[in-house]
Amino acid sequence: MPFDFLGKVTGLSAADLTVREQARLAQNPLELRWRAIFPPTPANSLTVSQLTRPDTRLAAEYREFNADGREIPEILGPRVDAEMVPMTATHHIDEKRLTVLRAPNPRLSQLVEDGVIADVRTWPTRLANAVDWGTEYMAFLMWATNTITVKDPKTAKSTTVPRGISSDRYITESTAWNDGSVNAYDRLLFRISEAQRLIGSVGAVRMRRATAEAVRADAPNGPNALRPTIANIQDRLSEEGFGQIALIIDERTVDVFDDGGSAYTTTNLIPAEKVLFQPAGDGAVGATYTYPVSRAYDHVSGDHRVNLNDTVVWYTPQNNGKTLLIEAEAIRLPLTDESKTYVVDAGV
Amino acid sequence: MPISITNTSGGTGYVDIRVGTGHGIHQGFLDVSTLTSSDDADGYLPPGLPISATGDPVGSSEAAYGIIGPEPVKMGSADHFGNMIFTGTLNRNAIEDNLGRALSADELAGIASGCPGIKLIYQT
Repeated sequence: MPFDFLGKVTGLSAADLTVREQARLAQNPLELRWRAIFPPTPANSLTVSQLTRPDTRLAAEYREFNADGREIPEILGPRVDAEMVPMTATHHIDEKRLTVLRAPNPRLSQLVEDGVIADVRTWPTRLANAVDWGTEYMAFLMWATNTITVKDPKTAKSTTVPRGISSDRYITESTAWNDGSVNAYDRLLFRISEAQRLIGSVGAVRMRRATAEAVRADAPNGPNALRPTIANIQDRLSEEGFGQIALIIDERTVDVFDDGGSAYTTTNLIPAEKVLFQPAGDGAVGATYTYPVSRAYDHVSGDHRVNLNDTVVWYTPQNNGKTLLIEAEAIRLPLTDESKTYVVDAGV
Repeated sequence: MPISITNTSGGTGYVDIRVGTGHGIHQGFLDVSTLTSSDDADGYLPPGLPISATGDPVGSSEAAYGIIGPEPVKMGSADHFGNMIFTGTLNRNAIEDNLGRALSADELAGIASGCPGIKLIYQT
């Protein structure tokens, strides 16, 4: 087969490319958050069952002599069963393009080295990045909206799957925080206290710039009537008795395809008006359940360096060897933990 | 001489129009004189362009012979062949993005009548 030689060139085997990409992504070059906020957790089934421990603090009572005491019942938290599907990014390199790319053309080689165009060596990086960005997008989408949107990669059809977390944890303010009748700073303090009640100590509050500006506009001035900074507000939150809380302004974006074609829309990871609360400590609000990409096992020749629970990269010849299909795939599902989730729609 | 600066816009490359595997791919004749309005700014026929048996764009009541693909075809000055897809499942969203327009009713009818082995997937 024409492309067998790729496996014999050092660094171009599927195993080598996968190890390269897994090691690179482990350093978090894209500065993503899902590995920290939704830590990877290997699953032994494509169906993940997540049982949330209830946050109950049942109190016993006094009893009269010779009478029975309070029977404490078993209380189960909500349970979610979720089915995982693969997330795959592909690219086809057909015969003419491959022939041109492999010709000894210094100008083309320089364009490849500079990352302007990609070849067999560098497409795996782009595809692995796309899978990582896809995971980040899905994690924040589920966290912020309590839903996950699954799209057909080849058409415009999409379905929205509800995560099902209680509406007590997804609050929409009746009046927007930038309304003149509302003090956004006071509302933030109130919501932090509500979050404490539901998720425990709050370690970080993540929001868009417009929301943060609304809070800053209503925050008390500092000494000499100086307008407070975001850092000042963080200090004030600590002085209000909440402990150290980081106020994170997150304007990061990802490019989401509009339909089955090539058009895409730059989309903020945090939707406008959403305020996301993270618990203190590790700041995790859920987990990313992973399952081995077992269909890639033969392609990576069972290389023990490859972690099949992470993004795997390989290529297969098609069309009688005239086409090279390069794939990057991970089977993983970020899932929010109800006991750590509290999101407010601030209206600004 | 004065400094001269030429800006060339970037953009999105053609996207693969195939869905799945097992497509029938071969070459087809291209009547260059009839395709002068169908190529892009660099003189390439985009993947997804339906072509008739006489090598021209599919017109009214005309059956398609094949669909340009999987790769774009550089137009020459004289008639020549170009790669075409004859069977298999194709992505209509990708085709229309490559063409920069929607497939016309004539083209859709031509594909249905002349390329019965091609299925265009399209859901909104």
